[in-house]
Amino acid sequence: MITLDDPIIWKIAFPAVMLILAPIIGGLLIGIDRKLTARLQNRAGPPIVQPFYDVLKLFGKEDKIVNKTYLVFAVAYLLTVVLSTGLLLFHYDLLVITFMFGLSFIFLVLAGYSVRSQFSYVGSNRELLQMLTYEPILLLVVFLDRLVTGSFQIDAIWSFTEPAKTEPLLYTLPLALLALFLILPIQLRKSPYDIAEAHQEIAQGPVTEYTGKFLGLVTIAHFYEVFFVLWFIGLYFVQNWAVRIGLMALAFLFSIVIDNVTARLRVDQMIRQVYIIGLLLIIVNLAYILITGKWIA
Amino acid sequence: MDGLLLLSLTVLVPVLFGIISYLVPGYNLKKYAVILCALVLSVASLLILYNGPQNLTVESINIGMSLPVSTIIIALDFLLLLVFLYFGYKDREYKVLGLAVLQLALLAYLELFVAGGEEAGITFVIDDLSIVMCLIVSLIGSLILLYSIGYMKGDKNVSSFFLIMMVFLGDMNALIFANDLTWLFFFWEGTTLCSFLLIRHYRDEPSIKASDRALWMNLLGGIALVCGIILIEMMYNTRFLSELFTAQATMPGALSFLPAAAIILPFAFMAVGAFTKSALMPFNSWLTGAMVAPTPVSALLHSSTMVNAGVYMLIRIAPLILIFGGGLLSTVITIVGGFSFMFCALLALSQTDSKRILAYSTISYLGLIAMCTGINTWLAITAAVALLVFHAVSKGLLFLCVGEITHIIGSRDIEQMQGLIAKAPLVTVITVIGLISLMAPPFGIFVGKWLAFQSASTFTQIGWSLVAIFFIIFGSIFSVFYYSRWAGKLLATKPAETAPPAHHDWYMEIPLIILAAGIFVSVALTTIFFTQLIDLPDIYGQEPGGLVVGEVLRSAFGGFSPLMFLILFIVILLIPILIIRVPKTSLTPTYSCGTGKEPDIGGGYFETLIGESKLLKYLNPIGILLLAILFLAVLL
Repeated sequence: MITLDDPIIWKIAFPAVMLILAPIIGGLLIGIDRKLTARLQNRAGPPIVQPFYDVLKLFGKEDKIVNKTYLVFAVAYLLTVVLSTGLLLFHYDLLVITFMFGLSFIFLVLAGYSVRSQFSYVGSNRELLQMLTYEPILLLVVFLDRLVTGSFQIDAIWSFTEPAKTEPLLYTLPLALLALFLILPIQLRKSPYDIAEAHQEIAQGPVTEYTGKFLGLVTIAHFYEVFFVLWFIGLYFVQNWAVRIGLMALAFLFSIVIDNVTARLRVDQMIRQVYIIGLLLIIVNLAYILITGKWIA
Repeated sequence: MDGLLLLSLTVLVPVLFGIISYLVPGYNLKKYAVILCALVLSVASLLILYNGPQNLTVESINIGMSLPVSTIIIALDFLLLLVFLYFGYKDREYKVLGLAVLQLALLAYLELFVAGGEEAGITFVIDDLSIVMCLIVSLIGSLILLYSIGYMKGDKNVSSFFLIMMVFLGDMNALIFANDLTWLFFFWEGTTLCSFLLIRHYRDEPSIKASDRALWMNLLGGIALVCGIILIEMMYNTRFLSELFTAQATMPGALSFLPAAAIILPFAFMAVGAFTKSALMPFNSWLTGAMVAPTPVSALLHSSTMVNAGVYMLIRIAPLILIFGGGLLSTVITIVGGFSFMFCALLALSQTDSKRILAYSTISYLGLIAMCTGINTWLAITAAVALLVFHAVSKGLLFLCVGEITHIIGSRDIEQMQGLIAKAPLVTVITVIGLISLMAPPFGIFVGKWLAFQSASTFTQIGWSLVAIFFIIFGSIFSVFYYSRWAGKLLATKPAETAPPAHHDWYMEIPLIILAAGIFVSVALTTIFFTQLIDLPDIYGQEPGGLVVGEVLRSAFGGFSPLMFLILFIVILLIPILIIRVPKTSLTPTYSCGTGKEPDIGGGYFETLIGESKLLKYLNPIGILLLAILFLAVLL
């Protein structure tokens, strides 16, 4: 008889179920986003499940294909995003997860480069610059997590304050969490840092040349990404489910609001803003945990 | 098997084959000598691996009469310096002249006044580190030899080319095994001579200039090394590397004005020697200049020989620095390495010449290895050895690919390589594999970076830890940038382009295929490599084998399974490659948002921001300043 406390539920069954639910949650969130944005702009907006209708429709479309290479990378992109989400849910090494998530970006960039289209080429170039912007901040945040918990393993986030098990990451690394909020628009491809996909200037950047079911696959990958990014933020309060989900919801709402109240920036503006503010937040937070001695060598 | 026989197989036999191939007439006969040499060398290195660690003492050679090896080596050493003097005079290169004279004086001082008792000791040590190095030199070196048969066809100086290449390999092997520091110095200068001669292979203005620059910088490094050796003999009273571990340090009377901490001064000198050999900042310009040489030479310099000698030396002296309390020295080495790692990656980002990109990326990865030796914990040294191996395989492969691509399209500019996959699918796919292996998980470089990141996070002083992490993060991210851009360019094709009937030169392509397979095999074997082939001195307190749990590398901070992720990676790419079918009917030209024109794409190198002319004028002085700090850290 398996009870709810059985570790097998939390170590295997729960992550597996979440991995299957992840694209659905991600898609719904995007639907909510579109609805909210529409309401903010005094439009009726599409139904919340519209993203799924879109994907279904894409799968019924005729394929227009330039070459095989970029299709291969699109699928590799999707599979890598799924893999990194799985690793996150199954509590693998945080550093490895961060790099695997980075690998999915690399595949997307290669996909964009593999077609001779100026739009996807520029998009890929910008995608690289965006990666150059957010990845250092993300890795530094992971480094701070490691300092506080003593390990890169996600499991350590639960156990580092044993036996008390009370102190969430949020209390020791509040500014690092803010730094994650800062790079959120990049990871979610939203304004003001939606530079690579800037649909008004370069028509969706690296994914410009996709049609039919492959565009559908890329969209599903995006669903997974939304889930991944928010789940990552949820790690900052693992002690209480209500607060944890609240934190994810807050991050999500934050990204929607920011998306609606800001205009797209140039690449150099993005790099400058994110580096200066992000590094400052991280250094202050580092100083805080050093002074309070809340770190493990 | 007899260790002496194996030693001569890896050291003397290449030299012998080199002379044979020099003497025999005709390209075909030379070719067979080269193939034979490659075979013997590979087999010999595998035998050394099979035979395991051992110590050897070679005192004299018997050819009719007994000749003491030491005397021969000293004589050759002086001869070598005279050759440098000759070239310095011939090219009117006064830096070379001056440095060679200085080195001559120092060497004479070492041999006449300092050389301790003539007590015998272990002259050659075959330990795990030298076995690993020997495998790199011999296996990758052999493949490069095979490749150059195809590449150098029709070259007019091909006889001397093969001779020097093979002498280089033999000399490098000797350098790796040498335990007697005075001998090691001779082999060290031998690599300088070989690389100098190979760089000026084409004998035109730019190559002579580049070779002279390489020569004077390496002579400078040689002077640092000989100073280090003199000081070691004075302070530690031994000339054998292996005996340094148990040596008693005493400050000689002549140097009593120095503070007590200066006991590690010789290692600072040796580190500077290593920096020049590995072309770390501020010595980077000789390696980027060396790009004028034929591509197999670049491959040899960058992957299996020359530059590895520098980091090899750093890995050798790292435990000694730890034993004799040079924590500050280690920290400065970390900074020098990290500085090169990050900024050379940034410089590579602004380049369009593929060989220059590779050159900067070599310096950058050597910087990372140097940085690991500076962090100097068991995890970091493991990372250093692992990076050394994985980098050699990937970088050797990439240089050979660039050579082949240059043969096909007649250009080294990556802008010209757009859509190469349609013209030359095999070499392009292999190049892309090589590029991905240098930036993405789960390949070897990633394993190394992952270990480096962990070891940097365990620094006792958190401030340095942050600096080291900063260098690793930005260095890695810049590398990802320029490698993926290049890979993307190779893959950019128009629809329905078909490959022209391929022209195969198997001498060039078989080494490529073997090395590409080597990338996958080396990752798959990571755990075995860690348990069997990395053996750290006791001072570190822990063995890399402690990392391995089943197929997983598990440190106190995290876990990663190279084999599992390699399989996942292959699956992720194979599934779409096998499943996706592109029906002819759905092929269309690029949509390009209806612009309908053949797009003119390119750019994005930010030369005005981070070009060589912008950055180097700041980076070189900082590099020199760091060297000054290196010595200050020891003396203060």
